[in-house]
Amino acid sequence: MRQELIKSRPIPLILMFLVGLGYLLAAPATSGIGIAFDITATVAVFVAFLFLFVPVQIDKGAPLWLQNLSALALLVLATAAFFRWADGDWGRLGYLFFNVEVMSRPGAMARMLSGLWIAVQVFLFSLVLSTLLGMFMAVVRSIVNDALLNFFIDAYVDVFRAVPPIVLLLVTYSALPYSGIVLSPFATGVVALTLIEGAYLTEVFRSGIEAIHRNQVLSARSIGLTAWQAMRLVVLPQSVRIVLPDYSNRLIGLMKRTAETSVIAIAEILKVAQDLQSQFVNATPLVVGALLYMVVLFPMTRFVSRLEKSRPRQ
Amino acid sequence: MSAVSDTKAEPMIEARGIHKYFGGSHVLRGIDATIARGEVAALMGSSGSGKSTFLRCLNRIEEPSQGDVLIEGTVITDLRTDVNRVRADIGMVFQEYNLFPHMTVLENVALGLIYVRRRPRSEAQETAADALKRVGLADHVTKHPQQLSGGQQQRVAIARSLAMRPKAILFDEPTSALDPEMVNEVLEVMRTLAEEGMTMVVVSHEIGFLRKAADQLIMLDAGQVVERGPTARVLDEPEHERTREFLRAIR
Repeated sequence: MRQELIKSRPIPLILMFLVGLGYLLAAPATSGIGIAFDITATVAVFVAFLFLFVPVQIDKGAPLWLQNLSALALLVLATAAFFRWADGDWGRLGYLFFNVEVMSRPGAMARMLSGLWIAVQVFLFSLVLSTLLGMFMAVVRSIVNDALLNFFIDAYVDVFRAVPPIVLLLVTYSALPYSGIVLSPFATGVVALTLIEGAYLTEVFRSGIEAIHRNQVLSARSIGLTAWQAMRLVVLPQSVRIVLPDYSNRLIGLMKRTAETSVIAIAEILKVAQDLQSQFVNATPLVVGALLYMVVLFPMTRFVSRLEKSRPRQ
Repeated sequence: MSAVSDTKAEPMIEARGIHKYFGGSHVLRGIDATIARGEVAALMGSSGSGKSTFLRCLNRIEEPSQGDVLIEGTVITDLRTDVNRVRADIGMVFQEYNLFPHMTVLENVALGLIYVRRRPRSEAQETAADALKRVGLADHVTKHPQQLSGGQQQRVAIARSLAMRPKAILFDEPTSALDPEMVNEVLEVMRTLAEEGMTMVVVSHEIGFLRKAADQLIMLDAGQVVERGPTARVLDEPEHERTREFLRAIR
């Protein structure tokens, strides 16, 4: 009996899908006893479908295409049910957020793409500078290991980890001119992001350095290597492998945080999207902006999860 | 290797009144030792006796709090001493091998030659390969340490010291972390080195090995030398009660 229940039956599953979809696409009943019947019938469609769907998913003998296709079918049914029951103004939604005409106006896409390029530049500059800063701080902290110096490094790390990037951006942008330092918005953004990211990366690299056993340093020093050589040749190559996943996660966060530089008028993706939004009185540029971030971030996240899987043991 | 007799006047390593404090605890309480060129000296003592700490003071991997270490008559416990130079000339082999896991065996051995001795890479690798041949690991040069057995890793560590052409090698319990069946292959290499005239200071409790290879035995207890003398004499007719107790315990 149990065996019977978990046996996958593709043909009934397909029939059930067609019947269910047919029902959900038919015009809904709108009042009185009709609604009660409609709800019951919709629930019944899903219960019956799942009753056939679950065995297909757990049966190890079922072909992969069948499993994937039936999952897709479930998604189609759920979507059909959503549109049948939701009281949405689909036309207005499509016009405001997914408006191809708005995006094909002259210059719109070009401005979005230049925003992407600027965001990538902010990202790359901050990335390189904060990596150098964080690595330098962590290495100095480990090698010099002077109480006063450690205090200053720790204070830097604590302070800049406790400040929201957007606040630091606004403060530096509005305060710097009074100190006589005139930086472009772009430079201000890079400096602020670098300071914050550098604080986090100091901690990332420090944990990596400390993860290497003291004996590795002893052993390197006993050959006659200097402290700096031991750091460069023995400790860091091992630390970097350990912190790579953490580091790459920070990297993804940094790319996302470039959006916050829009508050100091850097013409990156979000700023351009908001400008276009008010100009066209249409939110489609925001959706396109979100897609542009995804274009950059999706490969990055894939790459990082692959790194995490190959994290070195030991 | 043949210059044993002509420079006999100066000991290879000399320690004078070495003290070491760790925070409040007085770990070494004035240790003297003299190790002649080509001599093998063994340090024995229970854990906490200070033998490893004393050994590490000899190349200043551990900084002595007080007292002097002399190598070939030159004081190295001096602020002006280039400690990296000293360490390049005195090899050290650790209990846990401490090879560099991100490098091949050959790179492990060549590292010091390239960055401390400033040899060209190709020449350094030749010397490293020779050193590995001497410890019987010529076939494993391209492997990483993790692919080797404990005994093989320890022999790589010995080769890493050997490649630097050191004046002496310090061994800190070189066989204590090894599985029993691998102890002999390491002791064999060490005995060959001793026969070839290498000055060695060994922290070890391998009585059989010490009897064959060690000229001098120094027994430490609570940071002090309780007994010292020719190995056979100390092992067979220990004068001090503490030595007798210890030898009974490890046999």
